[in-house]
Amino acid sequence: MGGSLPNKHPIAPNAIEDEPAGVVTRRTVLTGAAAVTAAASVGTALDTPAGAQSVDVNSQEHMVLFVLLSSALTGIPPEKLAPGGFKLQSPNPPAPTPPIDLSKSIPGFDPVDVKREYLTRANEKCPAALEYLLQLVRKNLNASNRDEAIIAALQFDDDDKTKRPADVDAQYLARSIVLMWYLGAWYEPAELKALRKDLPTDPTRVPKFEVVSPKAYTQAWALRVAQAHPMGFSEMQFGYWTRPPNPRTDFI
Amino acid sequence: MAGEIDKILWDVAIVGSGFAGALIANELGKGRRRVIILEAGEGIPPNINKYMSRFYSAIAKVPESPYTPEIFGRERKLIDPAIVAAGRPTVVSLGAKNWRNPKEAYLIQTGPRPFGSTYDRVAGGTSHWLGTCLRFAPNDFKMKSQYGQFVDWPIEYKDLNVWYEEAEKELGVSADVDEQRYCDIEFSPGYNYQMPKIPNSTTDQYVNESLNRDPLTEVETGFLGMGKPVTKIPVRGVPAARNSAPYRNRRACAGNTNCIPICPIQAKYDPTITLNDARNTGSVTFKERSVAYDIVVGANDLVTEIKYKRYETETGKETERGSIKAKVFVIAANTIETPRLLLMSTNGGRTPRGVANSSDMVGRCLMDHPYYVVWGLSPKKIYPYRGPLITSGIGDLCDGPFRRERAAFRVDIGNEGWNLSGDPNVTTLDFVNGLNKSGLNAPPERRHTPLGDEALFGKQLVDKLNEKFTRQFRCGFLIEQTPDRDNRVTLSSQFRDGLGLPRPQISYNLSDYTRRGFVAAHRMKKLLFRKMGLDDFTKVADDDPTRFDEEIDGELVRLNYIGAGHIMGTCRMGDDPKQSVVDKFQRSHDHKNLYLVGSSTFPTGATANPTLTLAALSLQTARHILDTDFRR
Repeated sequence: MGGSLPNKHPIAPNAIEDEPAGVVTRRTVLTGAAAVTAAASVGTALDTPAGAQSVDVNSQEHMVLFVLLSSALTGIPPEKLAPGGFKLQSPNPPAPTPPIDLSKSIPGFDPVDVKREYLTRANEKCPAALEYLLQLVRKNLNASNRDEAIIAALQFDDDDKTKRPADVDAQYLARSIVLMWYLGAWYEPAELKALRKDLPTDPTRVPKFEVVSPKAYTQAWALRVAQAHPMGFSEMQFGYWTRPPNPRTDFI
Repeated sequence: MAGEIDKILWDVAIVGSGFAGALIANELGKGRRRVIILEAGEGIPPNINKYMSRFYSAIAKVPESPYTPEIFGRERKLIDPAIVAAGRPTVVSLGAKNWRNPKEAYLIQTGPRPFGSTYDRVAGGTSHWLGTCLRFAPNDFKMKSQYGQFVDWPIEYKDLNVWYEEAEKELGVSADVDEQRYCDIEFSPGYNYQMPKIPNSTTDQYVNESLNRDPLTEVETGFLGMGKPVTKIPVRGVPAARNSAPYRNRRACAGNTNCIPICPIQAKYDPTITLNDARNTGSVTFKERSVAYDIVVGANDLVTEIKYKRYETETGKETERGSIKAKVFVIAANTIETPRLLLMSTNGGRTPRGVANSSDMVGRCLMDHPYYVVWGLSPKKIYPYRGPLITSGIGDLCDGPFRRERAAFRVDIGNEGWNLSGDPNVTTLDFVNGLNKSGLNAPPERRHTPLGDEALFGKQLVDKLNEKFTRQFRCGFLIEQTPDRDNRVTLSSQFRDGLGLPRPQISYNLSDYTRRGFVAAHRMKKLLFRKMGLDDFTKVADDDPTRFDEEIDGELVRLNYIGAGHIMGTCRMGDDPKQSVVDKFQRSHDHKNLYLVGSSTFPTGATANPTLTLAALSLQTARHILDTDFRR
């Protein structure tokens, strides 16, 4: 399934530091055919026209990358985001000793499967930025500090002149992805960017968003992080509110 | 078909199937009377799945969001009420920018202040209620004789006690009798609520511990004007029609923290339960999407028929007209739609001020419990967003000699953090996107700056949100409102609904007496926040149309309110036909076979949520109809 991506657009020269410019394609990066560095890299960029969907939402590999990305961004373990057997596989068992073999890794068999809705939404709305983000994960796949490296690449100020438009697009899509997981809601990256620009002059500006689906609302993490539950979707029993909740680790 | 139901002479025709309509229909059905109910909105769904789905999908999770008609149309714009067959006010049409915009707001508000409460027009009526089942205190029925304010009711607490018991039995109330004995509220010997009390939340416990750790002093509580030293302010459980054990085939509350707008497991009573029982008697017929618009008065001032219009789709036109004939008529269409129907019914000029309105009191004395809501951040984790929305409150301050001077207030303790101000979305968005709408993403000196200091990912985000959400606190003060003749429902001469009927027009204000109640509530808030060590995050926007400023203890304080959804008045009950619309049985003074039921008949509003009292009055009325209008 994974890796059947069109080979149309050359990747930016600085996308993968140890690859010659023009050689690495989106296909090679996302399928893992290219060598990847274990080191974190800030400033990974991709010049890709918006509109082309190159991520395959039916690809197990891409889903595994998306779950790892989501886990890094949300701070919630991948097994919680993708319940039902999420597993990273290594060519040399026992897993998950690096290097990770994406082709054998499993995104889990979660019947609720909101991750598919989120991946689909991101791919439909911002294919280039999503591809950028999945590349970022692949690039850091075997890094011991994978999550930190991913975050470091996406955490920069609005006025950072060293960042290219693609970096900024990826940053805002990353925020949109976090908000999907936390709230079950889709905030357009462009809306998030506009809010930061508009609010100083119009504090009454109301954010625009939509609920991804009823299912997504019930799976939202914001109030589970608060050791509670989405309002209107409790899996607890009568009287639980009279005592402090279980430790946070029981929720996330 | 309309034609078939129009051919029958019904024993009783009821307009509206909310609490009052459902309860009365059920009693009359059990009494083998042939009853028809006209419901303006949709009927009872086979299950609540669609309601839940609508709620989960809603971008604005307001009290109306699970129910019909649709609120938003294309491009997420509010649907123009001019094309809606059976419209309703919604919270999203009460903003600073649209509360006076008739293209977005169903109610035509002439001010000077916004009327902040909403209601639904659907089978089950206000199913989005919280479930609170407080009784009124004995002095709430005699404000004039006790405190020289307003009017007395034509009934007293002791008259209503037995009906309170009947209503509690029907709704199924969880509470502890001993805990509910305060403000002179008493119960019949040996009486018990149907289920044990709903236990206090961790937030309730912190409030009680903080407030009553040490005896309170006169300096701290003198402002309350209780006429006696107040050294302790108890936090009491709130009686609720919310199961603490299985009751009448419904399961116990699972703490979904969603009583408003909808309990996903129906652990909370709503009138569709009684409505189904009523239909199961075999004597009650239900007609949905049928809007009554004209009450016809015949000879001897008796009502002979009610005309109605039917529609098929929410934004469709009238598809059919009909007329129901009955021996007795009951209008249970809520505190705004009932006077609207009465005022529309002019009988070709024979009742020029509307039906049942010789007193000119129909539509007057509209009341709510203007709700002063405050927010704080606790120094310790109190774990909100868990349990029913409200489990406890402070009720002991609802009655006392201070009522000669100022309005009473009741305190609600919220278990839902800062949900009323948009959380969990607001704070999450702040810390993900570097904003500061919550005020939590910047130090205190920059609390009101729009951009926040941090935009976080990963475990830092988890830690931050856990730290903030688990310490959120909010409480609210339900303020007693003066029954003011000029707070009034009339008919708009300019704006109509989708069926061509005039929309309700509202004028509304707060009296000085009520505003003095706010001042006392603010002082209570200061005491509470100080005792709890809360960081105060309450803010009132510059353009908030409910805002008013008061100088309190040398400080100019911005106050505001939202609607409590406790819509009362407009068809006042009383002994004097010149000063009131109905008698103590809720029978019209003008038309002996017409009853107007619900909280519209309340002469005064007190501070208790009105539902249990209107339920008790409804059961009393049902018995009265059976015993007098159909005496064998």
